[in-house]
Amino acid sequence: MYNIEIMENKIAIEIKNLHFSYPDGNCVLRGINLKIYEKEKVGIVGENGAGKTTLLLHLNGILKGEGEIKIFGKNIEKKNLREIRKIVGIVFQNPDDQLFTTNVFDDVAFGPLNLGLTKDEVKKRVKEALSIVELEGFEHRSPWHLSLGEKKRAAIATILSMEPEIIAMDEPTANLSPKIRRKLIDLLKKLNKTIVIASHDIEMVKEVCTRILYIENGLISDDAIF
Amino acid sequence: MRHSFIDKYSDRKSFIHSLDPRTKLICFIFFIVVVITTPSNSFLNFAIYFSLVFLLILISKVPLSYVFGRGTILISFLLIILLTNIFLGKKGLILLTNIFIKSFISILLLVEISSTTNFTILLKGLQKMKTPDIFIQILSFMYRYLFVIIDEMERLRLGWDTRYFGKRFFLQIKTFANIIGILFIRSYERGERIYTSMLSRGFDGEIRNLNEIKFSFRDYLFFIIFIPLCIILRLWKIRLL
Repeated sequence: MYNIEIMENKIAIEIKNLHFSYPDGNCVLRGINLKIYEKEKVGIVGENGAGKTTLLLHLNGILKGEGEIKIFGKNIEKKNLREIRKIVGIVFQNPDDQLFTTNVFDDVAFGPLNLGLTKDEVKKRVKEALSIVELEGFEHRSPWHLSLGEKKRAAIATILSMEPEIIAMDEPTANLSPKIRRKLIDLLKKLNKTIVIASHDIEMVKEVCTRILYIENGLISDDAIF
Repeated sequence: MRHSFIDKYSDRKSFIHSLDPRTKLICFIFFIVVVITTPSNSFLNFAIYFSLVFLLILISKVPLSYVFGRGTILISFLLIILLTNIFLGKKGLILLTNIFIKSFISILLLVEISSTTNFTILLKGLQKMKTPDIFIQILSFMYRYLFVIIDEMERLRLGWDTRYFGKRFFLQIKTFANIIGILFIRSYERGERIYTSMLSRGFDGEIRNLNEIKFSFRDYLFFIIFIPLCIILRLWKIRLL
């Protein structure tokens, strides 16, 4: 029943025959074909180096391989990158890479300010994003004074504040304590958005996602909807 | 988390702490100019300047030992160059004491600014004072990632220490060179990852932030007292001689 409901939604991400190799000749993606519908929660699992992260980085045009990627029907091209990046937010594996300013507020406000929102709107969004990840009152803390779990949640807030339609996450539960991991899972279940998660945490993927893709040697070798 | 930070005492509460960063920058730099332009033989003036700096530090509640400690570290670099002046005879000696006193007072003032102002807010002050954006970005990234890199270095050292037991030191030099190389590569790759994460949040070459620092009554008060005080101290000297 649920699957049919999802199938009636718009197609959020459409990938056709995507190939990609890194400059050093390492061929990572060898023809990915994929359709992800709106509000679908997709988990991507696979061996180390199977191409999960590489695939995620394609979703908002950071990497460009051969093939076709459409986000809500729009091809990813140089001229609409800004628009695409409004729609797709990526949370990186290491929060130290994502939090680059000297306090949490500036970091969470960075995306919304780049979207050209007004001051009041930016403040409102920051407040909302921080309250979703339960980090109220951390606005003026410095990222290096936070614990890893707090950093991770702050990194998620930096993306939530942009209110993207699609959120892509790379290993969201890596290095988290069971308690924080549980909080994060509940948070992901609560979010009513298209979510793509690349992870080794099968339990988490099973709980959060409605669909699992297994990537092997740069190809999707299994695609299970449940 | 073990590292001591540049602005360790910046979250204390005092009159100096509550001032706008621009007020501190403008007033203290003005004071530095006053100190530098004072003739070299007016030692009484230097004593007065010194006591004023001393007073500022006391008001700010930053431990004296901290400010002087930082000042001494910085001045020690200068000292090596200054000591060569001894060979110039009496003239050289006056030059030496002169440069030493002036630079020491200036350095104490700068340490006072940096230890009473949160670094982020200091950068915002500089930004409002129209410092080129590129400098602000460089400083901000430096401040953010300095400790990440120190952590990375310590991890590499730990990996080395666990497998090195203290023999054949000369063979280890090669390993040390490797560690430095790896540190460079890791920093470079981290830079790339940060850049991609900035790109995915709509970065287009300009760092935008909500810059909300305002002058308050205290700032005007400080300006009105401090700037004339500096001028008076500077002019007073001329009448003495």
